[in-house]
Amino acid sequence: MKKVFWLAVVIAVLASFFASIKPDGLDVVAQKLGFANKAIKNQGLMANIPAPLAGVLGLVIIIGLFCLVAGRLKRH
Amino acid sequence: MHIPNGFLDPKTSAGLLGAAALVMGFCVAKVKEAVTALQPAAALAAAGNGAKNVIGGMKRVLTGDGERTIYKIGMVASLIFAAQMFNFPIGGGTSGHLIGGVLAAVILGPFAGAIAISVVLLVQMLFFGDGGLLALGANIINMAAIGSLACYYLYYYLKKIIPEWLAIGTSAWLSVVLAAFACALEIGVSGSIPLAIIILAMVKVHMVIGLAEALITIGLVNIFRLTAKE
Repeated sequence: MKKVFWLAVVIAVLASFFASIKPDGLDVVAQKLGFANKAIKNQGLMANIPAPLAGVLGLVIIIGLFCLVAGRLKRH
Repeated sequence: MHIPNGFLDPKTSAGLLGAAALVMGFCVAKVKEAVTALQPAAALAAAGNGAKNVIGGMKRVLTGDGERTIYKIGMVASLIFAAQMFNFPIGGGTSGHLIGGVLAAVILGPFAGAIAISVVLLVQMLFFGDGGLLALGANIINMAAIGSLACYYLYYYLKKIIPEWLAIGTSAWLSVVLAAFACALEIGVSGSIPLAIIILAMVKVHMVIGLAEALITIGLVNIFRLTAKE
């Protein structure tokens, strides 16, 4: 399982460099059909953190969450 | 396909939040049942856990396998989170990215798969502003319930009649197309765009993105199975 985690870290770091900034399917349709202006986008808590670090932090948060859950279930 | 705030009207948003809560509650219950085992309270008291109810009471206890399963779900969720960060251009000024619903479901099963996707969506919304809070219900229904849970059964029955890799690819493709259809439906009923027009537009572009999802899913399932063997 540890190998899967490191694979995820590598993917996350690579992805943050190679991420295409073109709009995704929904964005493109929204622009084409004219409802894109309705979007109220929020930046999220990681807005000012550099992308690769933010990506790895996201990984850590997710795994941390599941460790918490396992810990709570064990205590019962 | 993460819907931001502002695309859905309050009724649709609330209804889908409710639906998502129900579906995910069910998934959590199913997974909890799978990772725990019933133990008679008397046995627990003897083991020093201080059970409160001694008369025929049963308690749910996390099993060793269950704990490993929870970590496995976390690992897959983090893998999908990382993979979703890859945007790839598909032409026409559009880019696509992996949803990972079928990936999660094939590795973890339908209920844990849906949970994995939902956790990814939650983290993306809270920390990266990807998808709005009001649209979280819709996004969970589209990508976790439809994209993972429902399409698992497509995969499950397809692989009885076609080779597994083809079953994986087909359900992965369908998961994107169906999620896009649902997404279009939700946005369509919320606003002033005619349903037929938005459904056509969303499905068309996602039929192409779905091809990438199919290929990436097949690849990652194999990579995961190889990596997780040690």
